[in-house]
Amino acid sequence: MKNEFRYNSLRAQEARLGKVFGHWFVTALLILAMIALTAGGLAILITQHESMGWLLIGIASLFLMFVIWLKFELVRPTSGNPDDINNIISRDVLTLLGRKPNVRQIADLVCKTQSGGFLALRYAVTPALLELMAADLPEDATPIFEKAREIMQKTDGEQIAGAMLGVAIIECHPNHEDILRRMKLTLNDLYDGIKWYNYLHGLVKSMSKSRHTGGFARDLMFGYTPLLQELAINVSKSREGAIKEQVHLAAHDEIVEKIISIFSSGGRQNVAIIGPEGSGRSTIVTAFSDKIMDADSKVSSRLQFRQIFKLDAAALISVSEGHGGIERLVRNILAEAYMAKNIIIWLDNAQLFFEEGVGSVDIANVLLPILEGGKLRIILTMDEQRFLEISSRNSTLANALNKVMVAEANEEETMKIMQDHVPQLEYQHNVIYTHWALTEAYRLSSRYVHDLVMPGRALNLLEAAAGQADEHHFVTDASVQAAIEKIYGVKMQSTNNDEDKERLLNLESLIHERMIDQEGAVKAVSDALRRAAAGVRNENRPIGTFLFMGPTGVGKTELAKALSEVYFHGEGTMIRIDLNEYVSSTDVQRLIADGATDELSLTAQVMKHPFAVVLLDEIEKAHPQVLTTLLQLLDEGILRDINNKEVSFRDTIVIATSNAGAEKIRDYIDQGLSIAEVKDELTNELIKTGAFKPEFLNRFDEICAFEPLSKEVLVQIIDLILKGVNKTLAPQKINVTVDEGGKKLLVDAGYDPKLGARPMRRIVQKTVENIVAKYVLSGEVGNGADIHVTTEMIREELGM
Amino acid sequence: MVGFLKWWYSRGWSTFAHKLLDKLHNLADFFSLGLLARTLFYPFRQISAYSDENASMQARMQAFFDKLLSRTIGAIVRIGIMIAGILAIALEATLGFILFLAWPFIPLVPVATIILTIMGVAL
Repeated sequence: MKNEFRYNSLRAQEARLGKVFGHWFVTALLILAMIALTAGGLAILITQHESMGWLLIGIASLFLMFVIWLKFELVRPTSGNPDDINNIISRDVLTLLGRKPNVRQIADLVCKTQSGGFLALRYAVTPALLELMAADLPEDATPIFEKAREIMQKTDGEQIAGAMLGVAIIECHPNHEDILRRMKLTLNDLYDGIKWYNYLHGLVKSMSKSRHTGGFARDLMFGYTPLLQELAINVSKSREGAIKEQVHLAAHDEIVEKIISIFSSGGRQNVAIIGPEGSGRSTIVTAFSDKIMDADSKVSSRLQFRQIFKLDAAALISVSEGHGGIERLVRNILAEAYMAKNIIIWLDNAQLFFEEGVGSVDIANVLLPILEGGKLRIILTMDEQRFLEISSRNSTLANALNKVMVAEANEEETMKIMQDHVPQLEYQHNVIYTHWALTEAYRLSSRYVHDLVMPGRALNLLEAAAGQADEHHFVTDASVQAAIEKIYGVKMQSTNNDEDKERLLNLESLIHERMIDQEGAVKAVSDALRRAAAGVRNENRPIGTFLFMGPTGVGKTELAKALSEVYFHGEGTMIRIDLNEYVSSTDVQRLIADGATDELSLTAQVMKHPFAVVLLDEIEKAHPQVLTTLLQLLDEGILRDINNKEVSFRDTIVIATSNAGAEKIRDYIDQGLSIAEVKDELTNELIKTGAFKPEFLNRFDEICAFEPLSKEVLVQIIDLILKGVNKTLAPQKINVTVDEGGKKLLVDAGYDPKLGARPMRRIVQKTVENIVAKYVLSGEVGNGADIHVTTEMIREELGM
Repeated sequence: MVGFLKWWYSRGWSTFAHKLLDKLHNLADFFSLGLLARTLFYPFRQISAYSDENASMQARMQAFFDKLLSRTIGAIVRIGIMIAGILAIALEATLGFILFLAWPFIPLVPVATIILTIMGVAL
């Protein structure tokens, strides 16, 4: 194989010639000159009878041949024997290569080519990056051409384009993996980028080819369809002139073939395409339409050029009049379609034709005989859930349908479909999508968009992200994140900035600004969260799952609140579910209820706020069925709601609290043992007593036992509560202080070993806040005053 | 020059032939020739009386004659379009074929015109 570039090779010379003369203006001049010379020559020959006229005609013929050569060959030099690199380098690269190109010159030219520019815009493979990498490589360009040839083969290319040379430079760099990792890229991503470019390039080329659609007399043998023209959408006509997608999923192709086979056979002429919303049911119908409208496709003449008309239930209801009007109208439409002989009726969201409701009408009695009779071709598309509902109501209807199921697209397929849609979206919104926008659209939509499946959910988010493009009209991963926040109302968080890292490192001290004591639990939680943030955690589980055990009022809920404040920037991001309200097996339904009917269900709240602390309070009181439901949440970070939609808990911290074992903890503490020493024993005890099953406890990252609070700790808690009181009074600039004796008195008065710190807030309310209120109302203190509450004042307030 | 002549007598000639065939194919498609031939006696626009198996003999006869008329109109229209299409294709094919035959001689035109000029041949 020859990998050395020859400046004077025939293809290189032709390419340079093509570049000079290939411009339409130059071509137009050549043609004009040719016409003028021919006309002039003929004029001389005819009027002057001079032989010089022949010469002009001869020169004109040279122009003619040159223009033919230019248009047929020079502007698109064809590839030759691929063993010689000079035969497979693309035209735009050939025109830019110098006599003896070195690696740096190649790096410089890459982004001047179409494909190189494509890679620069979408993958940030910029001239600066390539020049920097080229500087570390030997000057000889031969290895780059050799690598580019390999890349061409790997990416199914026909010629070596600029992008391939760019990727070759990157791949030849010894540290390319590190550099790409920093750019959140891999070599495979770049290969994928080249394939994406090749695909779009092919799409543009295919547009210039003539299409065979049967000609203007195609529909002469078919009847007139005035009703359908008025009340239905002619899908086949709307596809004329549209860019036909080339990306057809293998699964979709199979379904199209199945539809063709059903409609070509003599059986019931209906197809029910059943699949979840967003799975591409409509795309399948349009792909089918494209196929049967293409004169070059191999479909039976009984099916070729049949046109698909989409019926809309709501539109039909709006135009039908009186009792039975809709039935009459549908009968007339179907009769017209039957008489025309070339119509395939498409009932999109077909369930709307089989149920009564707003925008829907039950005309099963009209449709069923036609579906069973099989004389008119009908396509029905519907959601699988709705199909099951209809089947249970009307089994005859379900049995009359030829069902084909559509599955959700996988990641690779979704990425390809997104790449396919990007040119259209870019044209519509005047933006440029980067590679990271696509990957982020897939990642985020799979987590946070719940009403559709792939590829629909990723495409929707991708389109929404166009509205969040940056000032240079680039749609990046940040645009996608902004779109999911603004359009889908999902609050996103970034944990990558320095402030967040700092906060994680100081998690304990930040939590202790809000709560006192429980060092062991705070440390366990902080360590787990730091591990998660460092990327050590399993992405397919919640950020952290904790079981807080201990008596009432020892700070379990307070730690959860502190976490939501510190980790998620605010208490608003705490979702609290009191599981003592979920004590029967039927309560599972409430836990996973649809957000439309119960916005306070666990799944509905997490759908809205995926970045949150989920506090499952008093978990020991929940029905075992409820606990079983929660197992998947703890294990996989997923919970399916009542509609079987996946709700991701993978960005939540799940905290379950329990008073179970509180007595045991107290006993251990009374015996002088520390919580750390008896934690395992305590867990075993809980399993033994049947409070929790081992498989449930094993699902938690940490089981934290909270110690009962001592009086010394309670004094500190009083300080914390007073801090809160002062914060409330801050607008009036009033500052309250309590002397040490007063604090001790408050602790003594409020202390209840069974209730922990819980009575402390109440006692402060009854004493300190009452004293302050009286001072303020009596006018004894005004704005900016300091109020010192003494032991005596508290004693008096308590009536002691 | 060598490159040009090499291309003209090899890939250039075959490219021209392919383009000519494509053009003829496009014309055939534009005039729906194959389709019209297959459906020559189909009713025109399906305009025909709806016939019912239980209809009276008179109604059935009426439907038969309506259909016959529709088929006749269909055949006339189709034949008209087919003739127009065939003429267009024939014209295109003839011109194309002449050019195809003339193709190898086109590079000789400049030489011939020089000779004619030198010889002083005039009209």
